[in-house]
Amino acid sequence: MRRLNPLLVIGGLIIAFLVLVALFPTLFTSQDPARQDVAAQLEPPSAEHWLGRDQFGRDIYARLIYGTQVSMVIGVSSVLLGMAVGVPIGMIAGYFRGKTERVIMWIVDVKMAFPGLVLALLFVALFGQSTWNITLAIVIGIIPVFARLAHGPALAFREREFVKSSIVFGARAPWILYKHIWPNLRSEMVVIASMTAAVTIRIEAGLSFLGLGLPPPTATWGGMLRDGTTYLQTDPLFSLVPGLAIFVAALGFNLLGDGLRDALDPRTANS
Amino acid sequence: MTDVTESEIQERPQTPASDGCLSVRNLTTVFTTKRGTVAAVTDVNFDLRAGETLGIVGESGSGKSVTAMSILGLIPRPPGKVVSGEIRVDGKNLLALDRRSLRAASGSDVAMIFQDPMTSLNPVHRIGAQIAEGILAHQRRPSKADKEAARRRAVELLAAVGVPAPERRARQYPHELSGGMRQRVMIAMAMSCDPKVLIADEPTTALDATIQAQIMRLLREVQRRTNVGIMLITHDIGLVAQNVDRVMVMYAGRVVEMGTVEEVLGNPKHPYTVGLLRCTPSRLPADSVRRRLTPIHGLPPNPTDLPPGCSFAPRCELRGDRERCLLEQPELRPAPTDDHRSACHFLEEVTP
Amino acid sequence: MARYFLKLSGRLLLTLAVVSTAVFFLIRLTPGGPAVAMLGQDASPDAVARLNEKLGLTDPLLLQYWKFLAQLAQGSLGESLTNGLSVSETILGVLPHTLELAVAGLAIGMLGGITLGIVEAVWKDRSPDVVGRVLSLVGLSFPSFFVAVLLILFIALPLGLPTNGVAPFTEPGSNLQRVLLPALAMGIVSTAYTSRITRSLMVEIIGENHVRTARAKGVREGRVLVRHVLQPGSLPLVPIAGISFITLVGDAVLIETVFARPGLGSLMVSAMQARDYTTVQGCIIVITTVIVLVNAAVDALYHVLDPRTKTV
Repeated sequence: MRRLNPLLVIGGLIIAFLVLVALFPTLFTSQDPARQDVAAQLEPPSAEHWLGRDQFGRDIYARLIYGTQVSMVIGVSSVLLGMAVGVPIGMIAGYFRGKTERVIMWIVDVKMAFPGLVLALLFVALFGQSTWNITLAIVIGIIPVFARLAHGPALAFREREFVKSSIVFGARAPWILYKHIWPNLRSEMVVIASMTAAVTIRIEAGLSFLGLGLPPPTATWGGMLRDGTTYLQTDPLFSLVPGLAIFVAALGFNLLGDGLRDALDPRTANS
Repeated sequence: MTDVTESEIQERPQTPASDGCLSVRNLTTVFTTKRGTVAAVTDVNFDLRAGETLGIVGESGSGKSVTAMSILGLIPRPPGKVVSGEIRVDGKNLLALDRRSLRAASGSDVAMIFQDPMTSLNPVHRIGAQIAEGILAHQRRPSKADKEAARRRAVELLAAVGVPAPERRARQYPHELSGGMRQRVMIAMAMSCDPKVLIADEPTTALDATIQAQIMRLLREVQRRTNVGIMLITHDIGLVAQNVDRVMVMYAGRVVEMGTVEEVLGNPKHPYTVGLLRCTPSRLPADSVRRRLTPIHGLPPNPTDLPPGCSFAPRCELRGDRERCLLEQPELRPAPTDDHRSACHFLEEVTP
Repeated sequence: MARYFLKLSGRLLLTLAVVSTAVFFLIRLTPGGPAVAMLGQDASPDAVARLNEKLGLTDPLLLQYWKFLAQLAQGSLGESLTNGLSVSETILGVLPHTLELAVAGLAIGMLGGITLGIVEAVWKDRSPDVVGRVLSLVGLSFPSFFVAVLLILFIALPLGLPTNGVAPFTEPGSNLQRVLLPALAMGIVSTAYTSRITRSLMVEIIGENHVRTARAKGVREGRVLVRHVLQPGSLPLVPIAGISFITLVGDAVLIETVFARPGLGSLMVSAMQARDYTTVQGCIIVITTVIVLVNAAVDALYHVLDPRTKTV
């Protein structure tokens, strides 16, 4: 009966397509993203190399396709990890109150007052540029986002009758958090997760752009953009292509999140 | 809290009782939702005379607040819209006015006080300035002297509604006042431009019982001095019994019964009114004799899906299995005089 | 009031102490330590030991921490590992450029975002709102460094505007010209973010009872908007400006790199690339100080503006 939100559909399609590209890059290109050909550096687009070649003669289109993997894997897994750690922390703070809450929320506040990119940069600079370290660096930054968002509702639901009656019947805290409080947060967290993925993708791209992402020769969108800016005047396509890729991925997650918020909001869903 | 001693609110010459200062004809207001258009108020007619209090009673969603908001043009648009009718104050049709003139009429012809005095005042402005703002809104390019005069008048108005230390209170912010005090401020604000009609939308619901009585007494006092016509919207039958002259009962956006307070409460002629009275603990000592409270069965109808006949029919105990109630919309008709009208096909059979 | 400010400054000092301590230990507890990071994983143990000696990293950790604190108390952040210059002097030299950039970006973002948000809220669910919301979702998806690249490509290059460096404050014209595009790059993303928050805030206030009261009083729509919607709404916008500023300081790292502007961000990135840990440490401490001060200012401003705290 209700018309599907067009933004939700567009966002969903973009993300579905990017997941497909990340999982099966060979479906989209037969070129090797790492194969260098110094003789053909900065070659303009051709039938064989659709978007031309970079400064080492590598195929830009193939690097774009393979770069999807890095963005999606790091972007999505850091959101999932951040949510898996942050939400319980926030729920615990809201549920147990007292000292636990004060300490957790203080740490969260201190962290929130700090730009996520700077923290990720420091972490990567100290511990090295591996997929795991980069993911971890981003996760640290977004745990507090989820913790803070889970804290408020946990605080509110704790006082509700259905939770109190559970306690009377002897339910334990983890059970209550999982069975009663989490289901009430779930839809809001899905929305936040989607919109946060747009942020983590941009942070990963920012790290790569600054040369502190995955080291070469791995293809990353941020790294490609960094390479491209050197040739901005002679070969603008080289920087436009990876930049647009980052934008489209972030847009997909933002549209998806915004659309889901509309669809899941009980006030507008009118179920 | 003492009653008002000084008559600061301007006296107006007594108008003959027959003069209707507010008359509403065929008012219909609809809301557009995702599930289609919903009539919140359908074909409502009533008159309010100067110096009279009309009680509007009904459950939440019955259309009483929407009626009030339609009069002041406060229906949010979209999604709401007044689709037909006439609202006349002293002969002037408010629904035919352009935005400017309607704005000029709000506050000066018709003023309103709201249910929740805690949130109805702006938290970041001083009390005095908020009262003065209403006065200045009805002046063309107010001068410095006008502003000063409005400020002084605000203090006078506060004194007139029984706010102690009005000078000091005028300089305070809403959060520094109690709920009862804020409702007095709201009344002062509403009376600042000598309106002919005062709409009071559940004015005491959010207040303590003792404060409720004070506020109602203040409203009566203000009315005695200014001869303002008051529309008292409430779901509290006790409040109606003690404070109004005439009653209008609304159900699912329509007026189902109307008449003097004695007639409607003492000799109700609509099954819904009967049900409403049965589930209200009475405050009148006379008939509080061990009456059992009985709820009305069922729920109010879904406004998106109203039955073609009487909206109350599905819950009506009187209906039995008569088809007519389900098929034919009952009109308001004398029960048996024009002073008491009911919209029930079988009003003759209604017993309290 | 005095007690409030005392508590506020206490909280600030605590945050600052925690962050600088955390950074200090984080850097020293890195696997292998800075020396390994600087010389690479396969450096000879001898070379590592010599460098550690030179950097004063052979002392017991607590002694190092004590020296670090003593230095900090005198306002010194140590010397750069790469060029031996005083870190605090280097930072002080570039800090004004970063602050200028962040403030300009904040001004663009707040101005644009608040205007857009108000327009969306006033015309809620009508075409200006729908268009505005899609635009802000689009703006929110742009990485600021890509916006910077686009601005260079489509504005600076065709118009022949300078695309790199900074000009001294003594040449305001040239200085402004060089800060405009970087600030715009930051401001566009910030506008999108601010407009979304402003919209939901204003929609909420427009629905509040006191707005209905003002309309019932017969107050003009324009005045209702200014006195009864924007004025109460301006208070919650204060902390939003604070959060935006923090985001912008983070963004400065990227934007300064794109535009090759000397600044705190570009200094930190080049120090990270060169594994110059004293400079990195100094940058982080200064960034934290700036953020903590901004937060304090926001908190204090909110406190001063809120009528509920005026009379107690």
